[in-house]
Amino acid sequence: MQRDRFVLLGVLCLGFLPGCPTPTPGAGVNSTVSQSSVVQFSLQGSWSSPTPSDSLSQVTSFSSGPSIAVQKLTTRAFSRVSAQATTGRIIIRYKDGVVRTASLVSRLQGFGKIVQSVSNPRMAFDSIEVDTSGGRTVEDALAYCRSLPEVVYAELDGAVHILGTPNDTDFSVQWNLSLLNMPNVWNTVTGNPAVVVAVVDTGLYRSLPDFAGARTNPVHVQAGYNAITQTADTSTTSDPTASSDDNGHGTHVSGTIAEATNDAFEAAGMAYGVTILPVKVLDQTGSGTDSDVAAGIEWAIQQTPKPDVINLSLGSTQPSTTLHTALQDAYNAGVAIFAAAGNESSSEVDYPAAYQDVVVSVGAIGVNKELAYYSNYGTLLDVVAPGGDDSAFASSSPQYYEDWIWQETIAGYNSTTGKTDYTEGVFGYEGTSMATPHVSALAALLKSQNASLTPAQIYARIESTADDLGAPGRDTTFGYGLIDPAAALGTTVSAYGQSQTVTGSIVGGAAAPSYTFHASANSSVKFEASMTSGTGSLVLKLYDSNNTLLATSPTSKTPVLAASIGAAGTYRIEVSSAP
Amino acid sequence: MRARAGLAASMAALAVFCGTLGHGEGTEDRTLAQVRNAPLTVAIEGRPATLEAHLWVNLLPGPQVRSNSSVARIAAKLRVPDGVFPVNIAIARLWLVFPTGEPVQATLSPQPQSEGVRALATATLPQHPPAKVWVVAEIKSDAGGLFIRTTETTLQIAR
Repeated sequence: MQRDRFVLLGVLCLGFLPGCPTPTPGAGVNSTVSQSSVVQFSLQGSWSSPTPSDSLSQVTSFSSGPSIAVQKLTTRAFSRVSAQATTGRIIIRYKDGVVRTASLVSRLQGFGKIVQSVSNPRMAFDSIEVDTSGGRTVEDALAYCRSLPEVVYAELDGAVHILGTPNDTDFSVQWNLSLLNMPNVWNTVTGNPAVVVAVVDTGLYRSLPDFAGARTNPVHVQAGYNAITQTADTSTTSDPTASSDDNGHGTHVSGTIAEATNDAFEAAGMAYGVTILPVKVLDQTGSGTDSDVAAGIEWAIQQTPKPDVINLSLGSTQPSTTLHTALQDAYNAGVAIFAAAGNESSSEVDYPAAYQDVVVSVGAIGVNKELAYYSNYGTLLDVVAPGGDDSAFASSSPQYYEDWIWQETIAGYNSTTGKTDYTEGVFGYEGTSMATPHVSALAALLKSQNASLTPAQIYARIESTADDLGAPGRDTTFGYGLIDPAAALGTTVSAYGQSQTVTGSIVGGAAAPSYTFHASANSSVKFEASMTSGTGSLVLKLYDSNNTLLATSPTSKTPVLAASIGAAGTYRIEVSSAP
Repeated sequence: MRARAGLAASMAALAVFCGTLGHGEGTEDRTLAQVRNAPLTVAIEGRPATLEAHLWVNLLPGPQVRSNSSVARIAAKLRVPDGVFPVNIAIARLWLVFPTGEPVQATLSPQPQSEGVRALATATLPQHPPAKVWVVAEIKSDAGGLFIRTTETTLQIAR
């Protein structure tokens, strides 16, 4: 455990502690690019800003060499309002010079109460809380107001929240949740306790602080089952009980789905409001049988409430008719099922992930959005999710530890001693086992948002909204692509969310191109670069206004940098080249 | 916590695997010497090529545990500066070389080497493998065979 803490501190220091070494402006010069070489790139950034029209601005003060050509391609603001975030209010923007006559006010008040009114030389608008008790709808009010000659436009008045970055102490190393824009998604949905995810695995060690129910926002746990011993749980809050985890794997997987979040302790879970149903089908060593897995599934779907989602972070190269039948039973009972593609870097997806009629298979990517070195792929791969890929960093780099998936669990089974170490901590794992619960959690959020969704509808929503990595459409490397919770859930990305793409050139001997932007407090940023010509690789570095290095991307032709912003202010993203 | 075994393999245990090298004693000696002395960079059609390898133990749990801590998987890839690799190049054989031990030859996967440069293989490890190893490849081209090694590689664990 102590070792884990040191690892975490190392990562934090690298990115965020004020005592870390501060780079000098000159450090951005591309000494690795020869004087005559030019590397061209495209940089796409997404961030949350208190300034509605904020944009990436090239920093000229860092330039010391030849000029850098930058072309602004597109700028757009994300929609501020989602269907779930509407307030029953509408905003009416008036034309310049319009005087609100008593007649106009009276007509508007016929739709409800004016709750906000602004008049200044730049603009004048009212916000009306529409009274729908008489059968009139918000849409009626919008249509009427848009027909008025005094009005420029009328629109829904959306709810704006403080962004949902949680205060869990180790959240900053959970790059996977930032990559998936979860802090923004959590503004709208965090999961309904009525939605149940069965984690069919090595069990759940529920005595850990983030699972014991003693935390703020406690984890909801349903009494589970041990299919190996065929015994049911006698406790949902303490160990030992039938489904207690003696390996560590199942607890880690459960943590990715629903570890207690925003409780100022350790890590966060992706759908932390839903309920976990632990079903132990694998023993202390992580081994099991097809019959135990099938028995666990059959038990789960007979419970009340039955699970909405089954997570299978397990696999085998051998098919099993018994297991396939159990999965078909679950699917026909309305359960969405997600399974790990396997860790053999093989073009053959493992079973049960390969049962395409009822299961969605999940491959793994790293922080760089490239297929993880171990992940299986092929024609039966459906989607990918963060699973960790520490090959993105040199093993000597402190960032080496950054690309794992971090959750609270126990130290786990030790193959040398043959015993389980129940030491608590936040442990880094990587594998398609870790990718799968991200998709299960997304399914649980979808079900929380709309309880009537069928498994087929959930699958279609997740696949059709995935970030289409690789070749256009479904391909054998990424399937339909990287899951996109914000798109799948139709949630607002952020208040005044910004997205912009610029192109630029890195000229040998010149300063690395830098762009400033204004970020909101407690928000997330994501930058993705792509080398369009030249040799070598790119690196993205994020600095604050004091030129303190906050985060560095892996070195790649398509690097991705995702980070959490603490304080509002001006930040700078730098694009440099590497051999 | 990711297991990061750091125990040095014993020479006795490793000797078991040495018999897989080569066919005749003279050939074996030559191959062993080439494996041990493989350079970090070789020239292919006038361009410097390097070897990159990921070495991991698959601990994905499941109904049938197919691999455990005694079997490692290796993905090896040759890289050239501009990323465009010449045709008619293939990885013919792979070895793992431990800090104090003899080379252990890996079994190449029957899957085709993508782009002619990426090979998958499996290798049997000592009971408690060291965390650090080197991967050595024999690459074959129209011009003949070459040996190349990686820098020190860390054994990973995928779950």
